[in-house]
Amino acid sequence: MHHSAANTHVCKFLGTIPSNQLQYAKVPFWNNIQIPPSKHSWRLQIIAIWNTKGRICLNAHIKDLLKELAKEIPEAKWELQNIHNHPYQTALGFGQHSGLNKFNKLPNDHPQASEGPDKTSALISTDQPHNCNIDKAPQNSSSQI
Amino acid sequence: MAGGHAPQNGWPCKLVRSTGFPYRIFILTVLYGFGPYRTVTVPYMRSENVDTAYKHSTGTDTVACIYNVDGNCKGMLTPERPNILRKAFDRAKRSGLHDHVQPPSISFASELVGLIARKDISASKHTNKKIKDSFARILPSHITTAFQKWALVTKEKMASPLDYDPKSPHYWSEHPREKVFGANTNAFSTRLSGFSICHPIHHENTMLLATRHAIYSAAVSTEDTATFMLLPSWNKKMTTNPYASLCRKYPRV
Repeated sequence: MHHSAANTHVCKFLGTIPSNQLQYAKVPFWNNIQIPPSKHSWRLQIIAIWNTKGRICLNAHIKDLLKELAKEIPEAKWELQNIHNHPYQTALGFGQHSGLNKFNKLPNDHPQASEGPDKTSALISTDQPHNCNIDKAPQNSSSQI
Repeated sequence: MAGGHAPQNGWPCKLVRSTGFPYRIFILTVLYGFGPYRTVTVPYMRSENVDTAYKHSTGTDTVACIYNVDGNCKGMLTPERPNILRKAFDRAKRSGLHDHVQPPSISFASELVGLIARKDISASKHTNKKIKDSFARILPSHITTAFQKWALVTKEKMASPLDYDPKSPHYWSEHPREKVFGANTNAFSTRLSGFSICHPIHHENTMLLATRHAIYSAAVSTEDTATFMLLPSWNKKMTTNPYASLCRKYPRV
């Protein structure tokens, strides 16, 4: 399979859940007729779309992200290879894209004030952005993610 | 036991009169038959506390059924979901998220009926069965849990109060009114930042827009940003998917 399209810097193809391994959760709601969805025939692609800071943050947080994900989601076929910490190179033309200029004016998606999730069940309790301490993360190196 | 009479012949249900709140929640046990889903109903219990009304036995599936004042079943939920929604509703209310909702929120039950109705309306906008069905394609919990645990994911984009993972600190839903259940709304009105998971409906343009939004967010965000997209691939070659083309178009930022 040709993965180069998504296996680039901003988009990285992480893996695929084959059709015969893909099992959706039990449907949690119906209208007035309880009819299950038809059998699916597709694969599910897992793609990371990230910036340099995001990548470095994950590299700093967990030594081997994909291997950990592979343990937890064994039905997926993972692209187990290193994720680099190299900063992005600006591609010609991207910066001038008109859609991107408009996009720049949007606010960040900081969540509205709330009390957060059910703290008794949350694996991670954070209403605050994760502090990655980027300045201390290794630059221009490859970790074992 | 319930006021009124037990439904006898499956859906729709027997007229239920209620006073006070315009809607009541009842628990109904549905017995699966063979072939097409045949439902046999047993006397239901009126309850505001679904925990105490939960019943489970082999061959049956217990659901929470939402009735309107005319006694018509407007929708069914797994028994866990009303509790999740009730907690989310109460949290949002305490946090003041209900204060600016118009028209004002009257009760949990009426919001629940509205939620089901909006879901139906959203799905009915699409004629393609694959897209319609995708409203009910929910990621298994071990997948979202893995990303929360290892990939710092705290945000669930393009979800719904009806299907979001209650362990997610934050989720985004389509309709503004769903903030009564603690949802952030309109995922496209803000830039993605931090760590998110996104499993949109299987509508090509929606998936394309979501992918583009994630790419642009990664490009302009000054915060650490990663969005994990889970997208279907219809064909053998991933490169034929529109979102893959988009990734190819903007390989580097």
